Amino acid sequence: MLTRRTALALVSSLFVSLLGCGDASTPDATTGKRVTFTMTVAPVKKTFTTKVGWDVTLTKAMVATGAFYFFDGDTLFASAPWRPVLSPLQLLWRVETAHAHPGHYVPGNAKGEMLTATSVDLLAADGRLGDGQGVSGPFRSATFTFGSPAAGPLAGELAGNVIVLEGTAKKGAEARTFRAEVKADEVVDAKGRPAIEGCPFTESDVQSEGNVVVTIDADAWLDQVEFELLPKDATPAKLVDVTQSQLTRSIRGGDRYRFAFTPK
Amino acid sequence: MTNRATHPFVKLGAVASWVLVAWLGAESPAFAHDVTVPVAVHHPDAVWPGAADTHDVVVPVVIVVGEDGAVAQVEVEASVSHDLDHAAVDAASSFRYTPATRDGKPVSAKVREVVRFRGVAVAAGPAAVPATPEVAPHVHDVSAPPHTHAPPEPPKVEAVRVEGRAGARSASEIVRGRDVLGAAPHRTASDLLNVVPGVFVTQHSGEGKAHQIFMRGFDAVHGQDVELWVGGIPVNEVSNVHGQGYADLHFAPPEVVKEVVAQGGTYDPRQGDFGVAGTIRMKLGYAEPGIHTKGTIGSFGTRRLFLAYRPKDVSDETFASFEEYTTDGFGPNRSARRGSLMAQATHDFDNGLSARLLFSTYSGRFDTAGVVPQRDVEAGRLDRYATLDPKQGGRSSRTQLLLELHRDTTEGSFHVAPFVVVRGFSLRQNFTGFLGDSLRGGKDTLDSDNTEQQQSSLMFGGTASYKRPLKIASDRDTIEVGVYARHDRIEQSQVRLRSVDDRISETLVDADVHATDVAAYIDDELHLHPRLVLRGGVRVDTLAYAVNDRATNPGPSRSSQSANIGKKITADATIMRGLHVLASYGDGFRSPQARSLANGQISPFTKVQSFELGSRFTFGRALAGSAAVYTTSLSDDLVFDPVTARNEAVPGTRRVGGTLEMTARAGELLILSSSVTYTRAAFTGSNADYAEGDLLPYVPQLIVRSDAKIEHKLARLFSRDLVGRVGVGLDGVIRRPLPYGELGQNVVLTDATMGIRLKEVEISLDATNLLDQPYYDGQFVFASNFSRSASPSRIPVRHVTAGPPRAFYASLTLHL
Repeated sequence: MLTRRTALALVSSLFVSLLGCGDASTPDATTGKRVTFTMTVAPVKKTFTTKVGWDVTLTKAMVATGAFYFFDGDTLFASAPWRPVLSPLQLLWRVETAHAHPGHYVPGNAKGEMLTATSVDLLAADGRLGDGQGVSGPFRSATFTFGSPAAGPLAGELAGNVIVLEGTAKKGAEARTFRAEVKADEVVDAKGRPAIEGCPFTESDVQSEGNVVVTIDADAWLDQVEFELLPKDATPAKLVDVTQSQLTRSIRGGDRYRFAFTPK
Repeated sequence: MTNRATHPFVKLGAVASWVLVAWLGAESPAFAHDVTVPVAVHHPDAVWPGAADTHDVVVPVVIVVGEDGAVAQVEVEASVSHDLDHAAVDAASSFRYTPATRDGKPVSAKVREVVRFRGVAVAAGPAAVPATPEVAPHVHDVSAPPHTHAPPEPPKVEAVRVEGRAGARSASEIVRGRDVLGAAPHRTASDLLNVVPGVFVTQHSGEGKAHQIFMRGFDAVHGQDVELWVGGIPVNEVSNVHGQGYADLHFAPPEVVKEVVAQGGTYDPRQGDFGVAGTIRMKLGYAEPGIHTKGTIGSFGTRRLFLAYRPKDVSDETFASFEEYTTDGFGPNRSARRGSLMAQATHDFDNGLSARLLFSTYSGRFDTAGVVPQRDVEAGRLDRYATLDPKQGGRSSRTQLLLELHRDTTEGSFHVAPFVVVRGFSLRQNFTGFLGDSLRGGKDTLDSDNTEQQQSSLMFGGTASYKRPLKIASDRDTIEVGVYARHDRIEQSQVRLRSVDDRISETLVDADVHATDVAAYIDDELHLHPRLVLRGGVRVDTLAYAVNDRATNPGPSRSSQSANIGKKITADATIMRGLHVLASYGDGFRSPQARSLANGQISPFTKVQSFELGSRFTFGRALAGSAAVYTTSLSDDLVFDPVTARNEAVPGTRRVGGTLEMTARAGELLILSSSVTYTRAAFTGSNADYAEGDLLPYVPQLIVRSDAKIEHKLARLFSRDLVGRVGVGLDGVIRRPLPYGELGQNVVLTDATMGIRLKEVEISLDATNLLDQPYYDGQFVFASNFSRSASPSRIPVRHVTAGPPRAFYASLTLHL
């Protein structure tokens, strides 16, 4: 006959055993995890030819960086369909088709960041920027600020600037030795910050430690600079007025900066 | 045991039994079904605790006779002495009855009885047993001649009223009475929720804001998933600007809560909106007749005055109470003050109609310290009790009125209970510092994210039901139909305030909301077999919203309406006496915030499905409990999103868990009530942020609770019993998943109380967090910028609110 004690024991056993049921392989954690990464900047091209035909050799390239943020939102460049449809006449006249206005960049969720301000030599191999942290998931775009005031090992040499470039430019018989100094207020965005928003990040599902490399197209910075406007006899000749404006306009382009993640 | 020392003993020979069972007959014809009273089959005389007296002594008691005829509860109605009272309770516990029946079905019933200690005749010679001084002659029966040995009189029925408890809807359904509620110290009615298995409450934003409630795998936030009723009035607020289902229980002093009934899951057709994790109902009443004045002083400048009055010779549900409370708080920006008045009266009319009138009013004002980043506390950069924005706090008010009418007739029983509630609420808070402006950029200076939410609402509604026999499979079958209606008229706003001068810098919400909830249910009870009962039915809820949102969606108002049909069924099988197995299924729903709805949109209810299987067991008064396993699935869910700092829709989820609870009693000396509940809450679908199978963040997995009390007579002084008691409450939350694979801090807290009472005077000492464990009350994960950095961290990190340290409270109570 089933006694109450026996029934109670059976019920308790059933309760405990039912609690123990379940797939042992089922993960017992919330989605995602925290990740850490190092951040470096790839060395820029030392010698290149600009779009207006100047052969440039950089002898000095320094930049002061501030905070870097990485997001899961696509950049404008990723979302806007690129249609390189050029008629022969357009090709003749080197007029590119204008993209339709793609809208505003929406960063989405913040996935990673490196907040340490520093300064780095862009000509050095693998300039280290610092250590960052984030959470796992897709990294698709980046935003960063220039460091103002500059911090890090080259702060003194930057002397209040966020970018300093020196080098030579030759085109035919023309040659110039130049120096470019860019201050923070010359590269502010629409919100008044010395920041570049919506830079492309090669889509990566970051799930572990790794390294984020930023590649700067410093050659593109100088693409539109008309070096012939610089005085010949100045050594170096400082970019000012028109040439400075040509430089800073190029610096503000988000597609000049590309980010990628490499897991360890 | 209730020691009503102020009541004189009434009349031995004319002790009236008060039978809570409807009785058909000429003397009480008005409102009974086919009812029979309990009939004593074993009614022995009591054993003297010490030396026997020379004459009879009787102790009047009120006994609850269970459905099996055993004594479920004994309460001394008029104290004679501590020893005799205890001996009477022990004796009465052994009484046996043929149980009361209603329409042929055994029901619980209360009977008024006497326990007789027979006097011993004084014999000539040295063998006579002298009366001991400790047992003074207690001849309280003035109607009977002294030194007589009259046979016990049969219970005399004076008035009858059906007050049976409805059959359980699930194995885990529990009732916690005063003995458990009063074991450990509880400072608010919200603290009482902790005695419910699987429930843990935290107060992370000041002593005046609604508690955060966790229940059976749900983070119910401030009440969105737990349906709360107090005194028959719903507490959850529809579309509250701070959170859907916001439920503030500070209006009810814990001393006036006589019973907590908790139903996990969604198995009862009476459960409606917000009943996702379950429903908890508090019944009001005050234990002792007389005037009671309790003054408390305690740590951190705490002072409390509590007054209560309960007339003699009336139900414990007739009472009035007053509370005034103030504290400086255990850290900066944590002061609070509240005051409340509550009055309830019940009356039984001669025609069988009974009425209950409840009125209460409450007002509270509190400051709150807000959150701090945990990494700053752990690194020593910030004190755990610091506040990063002292301009946080709020106020709360509630005034309510209910009138309940209940009547039993030969055709059936009905009740109707209209109510009205006026609520006021405001809250200033700042969870993110200066993050908003730093994200938007373009500002030379960053202004704070301090916002003020305000809400005022008028809610009126009511419940009504009618129950009658309806033979389908058995004469004991019944059917009940009921309705519920509620209309809320809400004005709400949320504004951002400048940090310098508190001027409004941004209006985030400025809305009027009119919400209507109309529901009807049908509930059937079928006795398919003497050992098998089916209970269940269907409930239909219709919810309608009209929103005029001037801030975020100016223009014409929006309206939305939808209906939900919920099916509920429970099979209750009696395996053997004292052991039941129950299987339950129920549909439920979660309603949306009104402001989130588009015009004409069918209100997107979250669909809830619950299953439960378990058993309930009773070994007399000594041991009772239950064990159950359950699962609850939601079609979609809500999770606190660190980006938006509010609950956001996420894929569907499933909770799977089990609960085990037991209550053990050793006579009147000791009571021990414990429970352990484990729940695993996981996603059943995926989106960009969550993967199927992963755990829901913020939902604790293991909740344990234990309440224990020892009460015993210590001595006899000034012709009065000196009674001492010690009580302990243990609360534990183990394994609390947070986002990104992290685990929150486990919390195990111990509260204790000790007291002594010499009839009219009682002194007690309460300790909360007795072991002074440093813990985090609230744990959240989001990004903030309290340092006004131009480049703040945007990665969500853990923010916490510190739980209170050890505190002591000393009280002096006069019972008059």
